[in-house]
Amino acid sequence: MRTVTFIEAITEAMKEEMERDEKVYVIGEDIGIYGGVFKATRGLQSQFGPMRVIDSPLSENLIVGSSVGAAAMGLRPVPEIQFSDFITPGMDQIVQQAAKLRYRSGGSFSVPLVIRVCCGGEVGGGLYHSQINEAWFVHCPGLVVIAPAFPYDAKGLLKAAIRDENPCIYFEHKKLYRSIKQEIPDTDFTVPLGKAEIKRKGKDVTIVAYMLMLHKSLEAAEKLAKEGIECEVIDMRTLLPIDKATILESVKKTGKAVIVQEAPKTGGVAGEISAIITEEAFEYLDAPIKRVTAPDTPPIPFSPPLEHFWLPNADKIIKAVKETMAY
Amino acid sequence: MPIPIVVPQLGESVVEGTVGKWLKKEGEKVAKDEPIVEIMTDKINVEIPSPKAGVLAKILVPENTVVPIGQEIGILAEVGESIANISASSSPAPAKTEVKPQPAQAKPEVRASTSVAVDEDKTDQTRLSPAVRRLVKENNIDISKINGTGSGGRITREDILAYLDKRTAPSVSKTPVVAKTTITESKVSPTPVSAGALEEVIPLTHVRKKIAEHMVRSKHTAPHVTTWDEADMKKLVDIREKLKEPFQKKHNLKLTYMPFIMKATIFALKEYPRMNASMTEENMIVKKYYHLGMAVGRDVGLIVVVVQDCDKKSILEITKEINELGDKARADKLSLPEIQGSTFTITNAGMFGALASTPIINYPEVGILGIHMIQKRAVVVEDQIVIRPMMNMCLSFDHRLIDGHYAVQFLQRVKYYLESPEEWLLNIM
Amino acid sequence: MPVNTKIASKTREKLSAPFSAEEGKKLYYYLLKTRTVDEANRKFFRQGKLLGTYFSAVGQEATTVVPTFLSRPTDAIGPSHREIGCSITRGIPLKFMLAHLMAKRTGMDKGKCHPCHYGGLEYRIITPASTMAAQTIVVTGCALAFKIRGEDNIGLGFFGEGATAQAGWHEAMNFAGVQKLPIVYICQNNLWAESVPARLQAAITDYSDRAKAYGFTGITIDGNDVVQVYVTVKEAIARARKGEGPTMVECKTYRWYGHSEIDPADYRPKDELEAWKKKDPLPRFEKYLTDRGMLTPADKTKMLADIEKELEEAFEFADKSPLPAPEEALEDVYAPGTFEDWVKGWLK
Repeated sequence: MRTVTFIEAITEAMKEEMERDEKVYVIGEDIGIYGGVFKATRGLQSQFGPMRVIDSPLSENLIVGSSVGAAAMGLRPVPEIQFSDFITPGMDQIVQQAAKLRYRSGGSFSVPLVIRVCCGGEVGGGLYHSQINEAWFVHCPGLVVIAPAFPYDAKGLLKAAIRDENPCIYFEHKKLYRSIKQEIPDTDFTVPLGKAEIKRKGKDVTIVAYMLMLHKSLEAAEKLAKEGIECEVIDMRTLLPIDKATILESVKKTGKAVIVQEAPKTGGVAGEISAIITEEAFEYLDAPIKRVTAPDTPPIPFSPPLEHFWLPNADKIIKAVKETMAY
Repeated sequence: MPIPIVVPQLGESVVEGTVGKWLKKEGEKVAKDEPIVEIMTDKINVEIPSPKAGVLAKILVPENTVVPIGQEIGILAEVGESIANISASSSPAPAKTEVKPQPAQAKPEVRASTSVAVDEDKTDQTRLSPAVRRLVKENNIDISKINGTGSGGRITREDILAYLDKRTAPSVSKTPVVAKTTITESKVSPTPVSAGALEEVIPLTHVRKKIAEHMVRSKHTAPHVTTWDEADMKKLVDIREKLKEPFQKKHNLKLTYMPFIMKATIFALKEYPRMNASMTEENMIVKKYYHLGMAVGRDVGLIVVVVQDCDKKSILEITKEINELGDKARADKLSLPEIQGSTFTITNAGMFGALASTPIINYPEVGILGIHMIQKRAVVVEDQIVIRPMMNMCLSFDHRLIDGHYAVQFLQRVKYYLESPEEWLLNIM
Repeated sequence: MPVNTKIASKTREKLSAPFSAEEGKKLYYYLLKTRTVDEANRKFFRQGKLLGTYFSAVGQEATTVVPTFLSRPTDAIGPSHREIGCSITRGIPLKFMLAHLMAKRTGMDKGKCHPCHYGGLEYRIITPASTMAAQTIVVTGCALAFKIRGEDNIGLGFFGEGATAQAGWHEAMNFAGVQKLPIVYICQNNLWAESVPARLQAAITDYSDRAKAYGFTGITIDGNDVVQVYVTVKEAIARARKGEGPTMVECKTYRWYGHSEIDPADYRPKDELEAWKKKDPLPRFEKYLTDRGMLTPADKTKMLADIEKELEEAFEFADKSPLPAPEEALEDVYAPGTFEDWVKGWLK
């Protein structure tokens, strides 16, 4: 066992998979010589060479699209999108090619790639270095959308994704890169895709969250426990497909749900989970489901008071939980 | 001057009602004639309009409580008026009831049979969340026994769970201090659901209890005999086949046999007036008007709707009316005249395929005609075997008033009119 | 080969018969087959036998048949919607192609995709989407895979002149140039992108000029001259296999019919079509072969008979094939054995 940061866990995952399977390669902007703008790919090019750690031209479309073609020919690419804010030039290749090639070819082609995307706010990144747009991809059948919150999950999920035959989009929250540390085993391990995990058990209310918001939820749960409210905090880990069973079992136990998402409210993942709970656990609800989200504005305005106002945090989660408990 | 809100007389045989929903909260303003509370009887739910403008100063009887007719259930005051000096037991029973009036009660103490005193002023029994409703149903809980600790006195899931923890052996409730009729409303305290996999305990609905009472009363009062005949419906079938499409097109209504059967029945009733009567201990009351009752099946339970002055209405008018009444019955929106005052009733078991039955008389009438499925059968007509659409008719009659030969002959006239529609159709269509 | 050389027809005289009689005949067979099947499909469409729409490539056969003929089965092909010649020459059985056009379960795509999107892993033809130039990037990725793996397979990317206006096309070309990828890009400039003439698509006339911007060879040729296409593409493929990087071959050609079968193509001048019909690649090549004693009328008759027979059997197969069952819509979203419950959970 040793302690690693969130980003170290990600680097390790890539390194180990590239060592294990020569079909795995990475491609992206600044990832080779520079080792990545956040140093996620540090040391990889010197170990594996420039044909397995490829510095790409400034072209998200190409980064993803060339990976689709390579994956179709049997390789296992791990393309990187430097900031989720720049994913839009690559949308056609993600949504029309990667997600659909299997389906439109009647199951003939596989696209076993993993698109790593750096996302999220609370870093003063402003409108184009803080975006969190996982909802666009949760709405895209054929993709697997992954969003870890802890180093152990980050490593295990990335490895699982690289080994999986489906096109995966893997969101890494930049705020977590160096702020979250965890002890992880030295052995080779994976974490199953499509499975949420209860990170804190409780009987009074179910909180569902992911990425940075998962940590905010744990912070809120800690404070609420001192006031006698026991929160069950579920880390979604995979956003598509959704692990309905874990969430529903918890809500049936507590009768109350608070869902937290960093992204703007409308059309987000929290709305989807809310609908699932209402459809499948209606008779167990003792209070309306609450969502704690950002407002419906472009994410995220730059000036500190604006950003702070915009982002959900532990206090806002506590408030929502208390209102739910008081219903 | 504060005035009481009382339960009014709601139908001649009704002696009690249940307080349904309070439509205003304590302290809330009320306009004159504005509905203030809902009272449920065995027949319908009625909204009571406020006698004057003012404020609902006090709710004396909570929801889901059975109250006798004339019971004071609330106090209406003028805006700003204090009711501190009003004692709850001051109102007389205003309406005549068939039983001795009971002293008015402020709050029925029966609810205190469990160990927890329920603060009914504070508990809100209307906002029941899905989880609460499910637990109540699964555990057969009387929610009037639960204190609500949620916002606004809401009964929360935790309140139910806490109650279930505390609930021990089933307690026999004290006899409720409310007026009784000859039919006792069953007050067995709900036993905790402990049934194993072989039994399911499902609480009876209000409507079902009332239907049960009605049926028992009818059977215990009238000695029932059922006699049977069959009608050759060929002529009516031909008429209907010919007319049903133009009828549908013109009136957007389905043309059924029921209006024709009603008409034929009335002609027969005119010839045998005792079938259109009711009885007291000393007299028979022969009705000179013809309000036909028609049984309507609903998921929630049977009800008889009434087509008044059926003899004066055309086939088209009757069709329209029975359609409307059927819809209203299923939507539970019937008014009192639509469900009382019938003089004779027809019940159609044929729509479900029955060939014969022994219907129960709709008390206080003395006869009920059961009609059944029209079925092609081989019959003998003028010494030939032919195929005719035959309909069985089963007439149950009250043998206190009606003797066998009278009933049989009445039924034969019904048969005659059904088989010879040309005799009467020309007069009235 | 110097950059931007336009090969004139005198090349053909220098390299008379750059292939054997056997090969020439075979090439003619595929051209004839593509033409015959294409016209037959157009007829089937008018008879209401095909579903959706149909994109005819009659007139452009040389641009797709020849490069595919020159490729190996392990080379990757990235077609768009008018590359029926690639599929026929690569050997996708006609019966499956027709079943695909009829949206039957027996089509390569099991009825999932839009008509004329022929493809399959075993044929190494990337089943296309409808977004133009998207396939160009994808097949460029295939070429990248071959380079990473050190295999001497190549990629063949097909697109029209209209697709070259898409950003993705430029990104693909750029990357191919940077990485010297083993790929040959075939641009079929048929002067019209649906109803938009080439002059509105680009300010240049010869699209092969664009290759220079990306650092590799671009050549413009008569796309209806089978031999010229053969010679040019053969050389480009050899270059790619040797690791000398990509080539763009712009084939000037013309589609006889509308963009799709419901497009009458009234926007084109009538005499333009007539002029191009005179340059029909098939009779020109037929004469070329006949002049060199490589093809006899009897050969052609037999080829036609074989093609007709195969077509008839293929139609029979496709016609009798079942449509997919409704719930099959829920299949092939994810890899087998993964997340199928998630997709099928919608049924509840």
